[in-house]
Amino acid sequence: MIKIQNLRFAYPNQPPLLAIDHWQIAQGDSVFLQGASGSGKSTLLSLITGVLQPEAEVFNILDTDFLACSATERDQFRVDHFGVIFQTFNLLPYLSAVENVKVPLRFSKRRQTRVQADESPESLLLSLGLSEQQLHAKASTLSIGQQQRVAAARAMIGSPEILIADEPTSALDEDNRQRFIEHILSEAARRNTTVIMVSHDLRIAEQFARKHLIEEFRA
Amino acid sequence: MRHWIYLAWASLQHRRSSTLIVLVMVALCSGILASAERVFSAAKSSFYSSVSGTDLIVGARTNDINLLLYSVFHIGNARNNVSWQSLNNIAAHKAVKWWVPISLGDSYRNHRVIGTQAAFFEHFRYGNQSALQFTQGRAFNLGAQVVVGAEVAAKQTLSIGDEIVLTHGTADVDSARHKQLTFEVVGLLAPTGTPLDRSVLTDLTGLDLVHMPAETAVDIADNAEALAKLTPASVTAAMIGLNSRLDAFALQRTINDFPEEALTAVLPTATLASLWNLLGSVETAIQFLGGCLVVVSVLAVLAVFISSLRERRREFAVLRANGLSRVGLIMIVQLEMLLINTAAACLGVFSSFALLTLFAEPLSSLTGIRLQQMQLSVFDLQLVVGVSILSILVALVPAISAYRGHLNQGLTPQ
Repeated sequence: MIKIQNLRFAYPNQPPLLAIDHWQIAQGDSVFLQGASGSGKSTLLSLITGVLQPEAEVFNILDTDFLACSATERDQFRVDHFGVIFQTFNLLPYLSAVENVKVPLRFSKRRQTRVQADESPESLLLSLGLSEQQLHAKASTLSIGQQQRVAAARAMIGSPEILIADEPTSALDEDNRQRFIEHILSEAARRNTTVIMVSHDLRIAEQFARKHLIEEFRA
Repeated sequence: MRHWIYLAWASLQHRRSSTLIVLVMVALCSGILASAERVFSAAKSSFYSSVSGTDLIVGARTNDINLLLYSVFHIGNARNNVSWQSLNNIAAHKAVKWWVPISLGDSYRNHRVIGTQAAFFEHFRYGNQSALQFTQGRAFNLGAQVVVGAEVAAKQTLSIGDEIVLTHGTADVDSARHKQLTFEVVGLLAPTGTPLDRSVLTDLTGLDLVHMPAETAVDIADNAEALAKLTPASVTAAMIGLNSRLDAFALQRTINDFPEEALTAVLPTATLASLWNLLGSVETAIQFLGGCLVVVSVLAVLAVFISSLRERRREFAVLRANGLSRVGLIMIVQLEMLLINTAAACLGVFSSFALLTLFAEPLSSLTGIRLQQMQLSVFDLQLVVGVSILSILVALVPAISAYRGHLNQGLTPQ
């Protein structure tokens, strides 16, 4: 669960960007954040994942006081508890699909131990429709849709509690977009994972339990 | 650490072509510096090993270095000779253990002829107190016999029993040849890495014969008794060995103050050192230039890295979002540059080692510098360590800028 009270954030030497009086997300919620690019969406995600540090009265992520964490602790917390999917270019082009999925496991013992016997990186990718051959192909040889699916597998592996997705569907066509969102939400529901997705695309919003406009959080 | 190395290595492989280019560049520059140092130190050791075990060299009054140059390295000519009488007076000194005369001035096809005595082979030492070895034959007797150095034998394809004609002076001019008399090759010396390899040695009496009227020379050439009676009026220089090295300075002073004749005595080791010091600045200059090359090549790696940071921003963002720590980000950039630079420096050192070992023979006959018995040196190690340290220092620039760039862009790549 995520709990925020009286949060303020501004980049150095710039006017205040975000101001959140009260925001709470229960474990397993699916949250849709809508806003145009440059509206502060990415900044909000950077705050929640601990890349940036705000001023706040209460800033608890999974009952951990983020304000009291050092940068190094937040780095470790991020990989232990967050899965992240970007808009595009999610993968390291020099690693295979399987090796890309394994990256968080390299840095998080916690997620390593939480990998179920039936959800090895390989089987996860196969269930997402990649072929046996594509598992070990360089990520750069996969199509955009396949790359996003590999990114989803990486965000899910080891069942982190929170999934962060920043415009994950904007590079996909209509068909793929619906299937991708459905897949993420059903997987998240199965694992009781909180999903926070930002997008400007309202067509996918209806599948989410909670919807917010980024303007609500603007200073 | 294991994961950082894995990721750094995978990323380097991904950028294989630019990585290889800068790697070759650093390897080339390191190799040049290592080779220069190796050749220079080989030159130095063959220079220092050109004479050893000789405590004093005596010649006519001149400066120390000049005397050493013409008596040991056969460079230049003596302006005056030492009289046979004076040398015998000096030889009678109680400190003197042995002495051999050296008479220069003649040549055989541009190779210097050294007139001396058979005792030369017994007393002369080079390198680490090594005595001269014959690959074939023996020392010369009195008269028209010669022993040739290894390089002369090889270049002129001489073997035991061949007859050669010596030339007066050092230019190979037909009219100057002492044609009345041929010398028999009786010995071939093993290679020494000293100027002796390029020399022809004969007995002083042989040189006397050369300078006699032809009929007289041919008459007594085979007459041992008559040969034994020949004494030269003077020779170019003499090498002296002492009973105790401690007497060297005292005897040197005695010789320098010799009342009957103006003479100079030098301690070869000390004079070799002061001669090498003249070349010391050349060594420093070469090392400095080589060092600059290496630094420039490492800076080129740096430039390639800095320019690649922009296109790697997404790569770093993905890694950071998936658990790479701040330290990890800096370490990956550091490791990549260190891998390239250290591998390149090692490659350079080893190829310089391999190439110089492979071409030691041709290089030796071309320059007289012997590169045999080469091994990896402290300098090679210093070079690799130096390049690594330099790499770590300069890689801070892209490492910190990758870290800063990441902080500015937040979680998502823009």
